[in-house]
Amino acid sequence: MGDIFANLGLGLSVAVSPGNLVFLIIGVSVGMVVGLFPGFGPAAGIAILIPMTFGLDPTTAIIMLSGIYYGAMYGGTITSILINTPGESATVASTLDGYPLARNGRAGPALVMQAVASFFGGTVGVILICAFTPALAGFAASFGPSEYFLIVVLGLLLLTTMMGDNLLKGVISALFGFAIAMVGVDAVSGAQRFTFGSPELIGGIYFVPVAIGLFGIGELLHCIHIGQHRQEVQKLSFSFMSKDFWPTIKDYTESKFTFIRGSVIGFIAGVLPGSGATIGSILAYSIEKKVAKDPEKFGQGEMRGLVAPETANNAASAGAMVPLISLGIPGSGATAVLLGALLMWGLQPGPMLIVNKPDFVWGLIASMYLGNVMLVIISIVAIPLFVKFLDVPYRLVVPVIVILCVIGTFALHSSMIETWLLAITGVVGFGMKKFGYSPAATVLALVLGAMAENTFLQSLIIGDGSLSIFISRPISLFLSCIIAGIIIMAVVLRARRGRIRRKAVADALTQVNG
Amino acid sequence: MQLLFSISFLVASLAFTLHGWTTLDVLDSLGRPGAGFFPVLIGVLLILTTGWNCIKELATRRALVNTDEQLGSDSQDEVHGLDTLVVATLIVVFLLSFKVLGSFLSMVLFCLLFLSWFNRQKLVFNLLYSLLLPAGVYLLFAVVLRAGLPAGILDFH
Repeated sequence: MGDIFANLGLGLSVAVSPGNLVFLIIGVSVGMVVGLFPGFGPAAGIAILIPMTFGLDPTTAIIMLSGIYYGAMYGGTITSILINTPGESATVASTLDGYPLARNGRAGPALVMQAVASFFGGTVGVILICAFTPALAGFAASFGPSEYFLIVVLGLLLLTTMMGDNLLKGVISALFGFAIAMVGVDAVSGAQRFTFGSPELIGGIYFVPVAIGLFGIGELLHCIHIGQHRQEVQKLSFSFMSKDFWPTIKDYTESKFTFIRGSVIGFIAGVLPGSGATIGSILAYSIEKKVAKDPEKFGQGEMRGLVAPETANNAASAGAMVPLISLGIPGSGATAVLLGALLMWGLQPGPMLIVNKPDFVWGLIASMYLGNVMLVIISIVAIPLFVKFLDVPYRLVVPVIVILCVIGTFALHSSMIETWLLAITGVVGFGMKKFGYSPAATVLALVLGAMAENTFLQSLIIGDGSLSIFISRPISLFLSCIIAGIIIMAVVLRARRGRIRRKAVADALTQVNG
Repeated sequence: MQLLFSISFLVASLAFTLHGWTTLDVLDSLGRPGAGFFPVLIGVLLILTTGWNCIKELATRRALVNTDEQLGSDSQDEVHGLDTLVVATLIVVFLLSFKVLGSFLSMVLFCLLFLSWFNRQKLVFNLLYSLLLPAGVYLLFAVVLRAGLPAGILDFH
């Protein structure tokens, strides 16, 4: 316990430097704005803004980018509550009771309560990070290549099975990411792979243009395709001076256990690779509804139905930092981009990061706590201001996104090949989004491609070419069993869904024919 | 369109695997995995999964055609294909003009073309927006972050 406070003290001494604080405020504010725009998630926000952090110290840069990540969770809920449009997939569950609350004339209390719930979830998440990160890092120190390879596979599998409807397309997306990661020089033999003689490809395909293309341009084209640019803006206005703006004491007392349950569920979902904030928030909502004595109130504008997913998605975004920092395994598209940024600055996440760079790790964790404090203040005080962003039509946001994507990508290495790669991956990302593939799995596999290859080959060499190494070590066996279980469960569930769908079609045909 | 997308994934997977197989050593001289081992393994898995996906989509397509014939499909989600194509084309024009006109002018051109399509009848606003947004981005990247942005043939940064 004493260690936790000593480590947090060290972290706070790093995080409260004037420079870090300024960029933390910029990060969380940008994150809130990023969260406000539907279809423009934290992964795109972080990827697009990476080039702007090049002149910064690595710790400051990561503090700012992480601020965008969890700031988006706060911002995404504002649109969920006010216009029934989640700005971010992790805030989908917040629409279920958030929007009915607004319709019932309780938009103000809902917005304040979501900020308080987000703060609570984020704070619990940070406390649990302090407890779990060193423990997991210590445990992971005993991991060999086979365990690391299996964790990469597990993370990708969870991401594709839990986040997407189509397992096969998720797997294709991940394999596609691995294929892109193969471009460049082989680390062992020095042979050039898939470079086609181009000197610009010798260093491999950089993840940032691909991430910006898939998440930024791809999402943007998809939003245009579904007609978001043609939608009329809904004028909304708020004043926190109004008495009706604040939640009642009853709102707080009724939700007291929801705060704790949501935070714990969210944190656990965040720690699991590939699960993350979306699953965490949906799970927290479902459990809250199950344990409630009055479940019929949920969906009608129940404050607990908003508090549960909000505490969960913020605790999950904190929880996702645990495998990222201690194992170097991101669990989502946004944390994959964060991992790429860490690697870009020469910071190799894994068990040794906390030993070699304690000031960075604890500075980042402490900054998350400070970021949550700032966000709850910004969320409440500046709600009327952030709501004004919703008055900007999407068609005027499009040029900003495109220009930031193109200029940001070019600014990386002054490379036109990377800029064209952005456009190509943008079109591919649009197709992937439209046809049910998983761009997040592609980016995750691209970032982890080198690690997956190295650990797989090392495992084969250690096992004398035999794949039995993946079941002969206890932890490997445990991980292999989980992977097999997930695949079997996904196949069984899919077959069941298919049977139900076929039966529905057959019933419809019977009705039509006679 | 979906089938075409899936087929292009299959073709890309075949090309990737074939190129890896013919240009890289799958095993080295000692019989250990070589530079091509993992790429070829990924390629084979890609061919299997994308091939299976194509077969599944063909089957789904056939089933849908049959069902639609019997049920009479008339529901189509509203999509904005032309607008999407316009934005994609404008991005390509932006990239083509990027080196030629330089970063600032190409940004202005992109904004003008985009707004003249999507924000018609607001000429003054479009002009102002097309100047102010690129100016802000230019200041941020070229002046504050000192990124080397292209000057173009007019030598206008």
